[in-house]
Amino acid sequence: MSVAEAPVLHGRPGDLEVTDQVLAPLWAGSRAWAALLGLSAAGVGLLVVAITYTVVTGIGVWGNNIPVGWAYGIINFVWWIGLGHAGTFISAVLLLLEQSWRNSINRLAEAMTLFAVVNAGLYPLLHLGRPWFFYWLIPYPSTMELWPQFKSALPWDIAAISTYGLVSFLFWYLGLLPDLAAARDRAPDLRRARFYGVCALGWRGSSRDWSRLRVGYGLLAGLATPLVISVHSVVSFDFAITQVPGWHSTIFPPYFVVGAIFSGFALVLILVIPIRRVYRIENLITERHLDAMGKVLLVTGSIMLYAYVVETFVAWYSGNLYERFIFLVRRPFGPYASAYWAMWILNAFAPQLLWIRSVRRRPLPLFLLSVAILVGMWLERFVLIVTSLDRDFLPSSWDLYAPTWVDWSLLAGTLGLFSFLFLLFLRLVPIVPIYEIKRLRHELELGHAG
Amino acid sequence: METTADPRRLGLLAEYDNPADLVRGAASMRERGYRRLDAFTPYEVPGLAETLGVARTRLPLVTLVAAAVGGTLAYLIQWWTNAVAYPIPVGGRPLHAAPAFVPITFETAILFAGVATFLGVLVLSRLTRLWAPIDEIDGFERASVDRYWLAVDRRDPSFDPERTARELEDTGPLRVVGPPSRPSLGIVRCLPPLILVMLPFLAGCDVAGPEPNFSLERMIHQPRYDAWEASAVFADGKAMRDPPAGSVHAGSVLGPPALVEGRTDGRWVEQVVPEVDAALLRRGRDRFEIYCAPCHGIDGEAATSVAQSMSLRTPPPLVDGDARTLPPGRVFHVATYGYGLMPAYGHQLSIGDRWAVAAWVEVLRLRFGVPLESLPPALYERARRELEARDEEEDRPALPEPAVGRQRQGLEREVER
Amino acid sequence: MSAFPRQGPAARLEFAAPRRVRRAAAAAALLGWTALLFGWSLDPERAFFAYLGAFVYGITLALGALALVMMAHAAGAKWFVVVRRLAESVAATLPLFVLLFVPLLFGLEQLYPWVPPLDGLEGHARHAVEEKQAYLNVPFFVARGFGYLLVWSVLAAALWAWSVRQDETPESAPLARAVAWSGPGLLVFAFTATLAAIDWVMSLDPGWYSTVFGVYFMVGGMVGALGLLLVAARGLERAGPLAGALAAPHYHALGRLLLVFVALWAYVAYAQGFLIWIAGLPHEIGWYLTRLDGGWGLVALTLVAGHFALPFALLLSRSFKRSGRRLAVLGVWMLAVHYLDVFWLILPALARPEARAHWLDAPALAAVLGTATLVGLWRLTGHAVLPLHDPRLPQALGYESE
Repeated sequence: MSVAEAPVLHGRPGDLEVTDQVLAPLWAGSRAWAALLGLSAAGVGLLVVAITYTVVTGIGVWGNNIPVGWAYGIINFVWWIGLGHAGTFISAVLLLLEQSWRNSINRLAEAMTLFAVVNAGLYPLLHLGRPWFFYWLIPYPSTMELWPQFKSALPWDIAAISTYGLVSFLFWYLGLLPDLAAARDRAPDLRRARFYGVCALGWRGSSRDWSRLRVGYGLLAGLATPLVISVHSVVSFDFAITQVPGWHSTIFPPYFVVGAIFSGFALVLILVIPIRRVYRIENLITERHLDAMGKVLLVTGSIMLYAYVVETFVAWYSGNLYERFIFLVRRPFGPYASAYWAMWILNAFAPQLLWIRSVRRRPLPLFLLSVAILVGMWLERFVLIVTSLDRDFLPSSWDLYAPTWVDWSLLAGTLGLFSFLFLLFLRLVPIVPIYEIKRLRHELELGHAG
Repeated sequence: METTADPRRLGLLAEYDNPADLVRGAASMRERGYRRLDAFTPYEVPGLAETLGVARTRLPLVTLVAAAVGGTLAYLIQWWTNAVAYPIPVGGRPLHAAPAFVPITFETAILFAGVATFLGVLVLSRLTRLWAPIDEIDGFERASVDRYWLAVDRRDPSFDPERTARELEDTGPLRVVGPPSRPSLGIVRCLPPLILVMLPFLAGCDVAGPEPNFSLERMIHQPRYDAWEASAVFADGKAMRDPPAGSVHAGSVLGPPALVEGRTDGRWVEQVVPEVDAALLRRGRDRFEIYCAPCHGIDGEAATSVAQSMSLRTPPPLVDGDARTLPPGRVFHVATYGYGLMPAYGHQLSIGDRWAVAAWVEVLRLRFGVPLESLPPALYERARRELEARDEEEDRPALPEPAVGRQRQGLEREVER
Repeated sequence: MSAFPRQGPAARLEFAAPRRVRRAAAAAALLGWTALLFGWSLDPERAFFAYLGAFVYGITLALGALALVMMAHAAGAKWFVVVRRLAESVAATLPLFVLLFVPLLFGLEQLYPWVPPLDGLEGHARHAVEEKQAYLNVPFFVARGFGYLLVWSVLAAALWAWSVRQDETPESAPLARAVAWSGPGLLVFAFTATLAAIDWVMSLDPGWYSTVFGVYFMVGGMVGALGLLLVAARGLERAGPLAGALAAPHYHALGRLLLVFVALWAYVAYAQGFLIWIAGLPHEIGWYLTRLDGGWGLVALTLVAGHFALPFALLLSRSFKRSGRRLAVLGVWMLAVHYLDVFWLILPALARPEARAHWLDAPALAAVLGTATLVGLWRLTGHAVLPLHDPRLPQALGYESE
């Protein structure tokens, strides 16, 4: 029975208290933070090396071959873009659903979205082979009078991801304005007051501005909701519009979207659990938040289970030789079988542990489970992409796939870039929406929200 | 809309330390007939906007129109470019492929709507104005932290400096303050940073040298050599350079040219280089049927559905026509590097496998168009006997010469052996 | 906060089916069954198809209601408590469908081409059927059908029983049980409903398959169930029992939910149609070619406009969502287009050029819906229209939406 819920906010901190508590990390860094930033910078260095080597030499330095022409470039792309989805989901969908627990974690999750999208966007760009011609995918009147081919999924990807990146950024930034203004007004020196003053765009909190901000934020949430669903649907179209067995499946759009939210929430938990501890904001991000996110993982993980089962069953039901081969022979018993079974265990079965409430509420099990899910979702994309490609219809084009050191460096490098950006975010931006907490406290005092 | 931050509008302000007092104060001022009220708060105080009589914003309309414009534009661009200006028939789908245009139409509608909404908030709220006279009030900066300010517009019909101040005091604020006296510098303040931002663009101009260049086609006319262009720099008059003598191509396999390239002294090898035995032929048949047969056919006649579909450049039969006469060295070479539309198999087939394939192609050729007389005597006798016996059975005249195709079965058995 | 009297006269809340409604339902059922029986003697094949359409339509409404109740429990939605009893009574008709399933068993040979002898099948379809005979065979089909119905009936009956028991006790133990079982219940529901969609509808064209079809089937049912819920809620608000309990915010929330499901339905329909269209595989596209040909194309277009565009545009408006009257009209409309959707899924499988609306469709619908209505009314009679001791009821009554 969930009527007696844990609180969304511990205590009733005063306005000034909350403001200074959340702003404190902006004014003083720590040695641990600097060390982590240095480590991440090393990752970014690796990324720069890998990208430079790829661009200078050509994507032949990757492990891709014919027939496995997609491999890591697309696996990592789909993985990263999926991770981004939780941010928008928390911010937009839960706002529309009036879930008050979103308020403490939405800023963090949205920042995560932005950085994940940056990483995701890198891969298709590099995969183009000649990334400096990326603008050929955008319709512009060129001297050759050539236009993009809009029946292909690549221009859809460009439209979806650039829209997603931009609208997510605007959504995040709009919600950030009042807190940047607070940072401006609490800055300890003129230099930082100026920095936050410019970033705050002159926000003064007039009641008209507040009402516009609320409506505008709500509208962006309304736009971001179908957007977030469309983005991963478009990503799924990359696969599903083909005739490749294991790819051409009508359940792909919803299944990809749910998988994205699933992995994204896992990443949010991985970030939130240590952060609330280190920054001592357990009163703002409470057990209730962990529990709620655990439930989201449970729901989405169960939908993954549903999708895996339905996909496999329909492959058998289709009576189609190739579908059956992929789903019943190649994936479960082929050379990549271990990845396939790991995917089942980590994505579909492991989240079932979340039926147990103590797993949902305790940070450590949740954290470990989230790591497992993140790995599982990466493996899912690996299985999906490699096992459908390495055995083509013609045996003459069969080949196995193995990644090179450049592939691994790109993956490790994007992880480095992500943590680098995220650490900067932790240091530069109030990680919890201060004004939302103040408003929540005000409403709790009035007895509106529970 | 109204912005009380405007110096001409700034009347009096009252500072409260909690939202409830502010709402009460606003309500009481409203009751006294004030209509141009505004408040500055650290968060949106519920019910305050209604008390102040803030009108619903027109923002949703902006969003809706932008979405409609974006979606329409995106659809029209896709339709015009793909169905009218530059039709690309692809995958048998119609040029005007409405279902395939949905994703971009949708995304662009969202893009336009999102950007318009954001800009709408900025413009309607006059954001990006980093400084305003109201900021000069000491302590106003706490409006974003923990203080709640109520402002009365100077142009409110009920406004009177002294009476209004008294009435504000009655609502129980921490204090009541008037506007600061400092003029706004407005646009002048924005110019230096703007100019600073524009400066880097000057780097694009090429007017500094002795011959200023105002051409806008500089991207097209660049000072460099194209392939095959003449050059006065080198003795042979070519811009392109040969690699130094003795260069070896990266990734090339080194070995006797006959074995690894299939040719010696520019001539194709006439014999299969490795020793031909049953194992090699079995291997060759196996590889051939996996890698070559999809196009060239199990029997090398190229009667396959792949070949039928490639109507412009069909894969040739290997046992008939021009390709029949190609020496094994040439077959090996084509298997290594590809030919025309045929991809290279050097990556998937080892050198031994490629020779095995070349050997199997030889075998396949033996099955076609071999004059009966060219067979070894013992085989010739047997073939003739068997064929004649069958022709008599079918009541047909004696064999025409050469008996193409008829020997197939017998020969195949022989080869298998 | 609403000042709705919680301890007030419970009699006002107790549901008694108006005699007029009861009689109309009984008459519809009686006439329907008689006409259907008569039609069956004239054209058994068409009669079975009409009956399958009505059966699938009726059961998707009940399943949609069951899913909504479980989803509301699992998500802890407070506002839904106000209409939960109505949804539960719709779901509580599920045991009836065990009986209604029986007539179908006599028409399997007419309905499903995979039932031997496989004379009508050739080429791909025949090959496909031969490949999956382990699944598509009559005994297993019948056993599975009763299996699903049993599972759903138990779920619906249990939820109903706990809900009614909660009315009598101030402790929240029965409700807690309903909440606890709703999560696993949804998982079981998703699998069984998907298999049922494959068995009853997809296998009408045994060569065709689509992985998202189960989702389409479930979402369609939820759209229909929400339509029914809107009509019922508005009706009871006007007739008295729910007057004062239902206010604009509740309609707003219901309207918003309908908006979500209408959009979801369109999304799933587009995903399926678009992916099959663009891949153009012969064994997949045939299903759509039949359903876009001639008059069926017109039906498909009506679905795009009526099942998606129109309700979607209307429901975007805030004032529309807050008006019970307008939402009830839209509810009737959604019920109609949901039937059209089911009709469009099933009837084109009747491989006859004249496969279009037939006079037999009306009595089949009347028979199934009339009987189900009677059962639903009987279930609700004597119980309160609101779950009385639900601890969230006061919050639900005072619910306010943005």
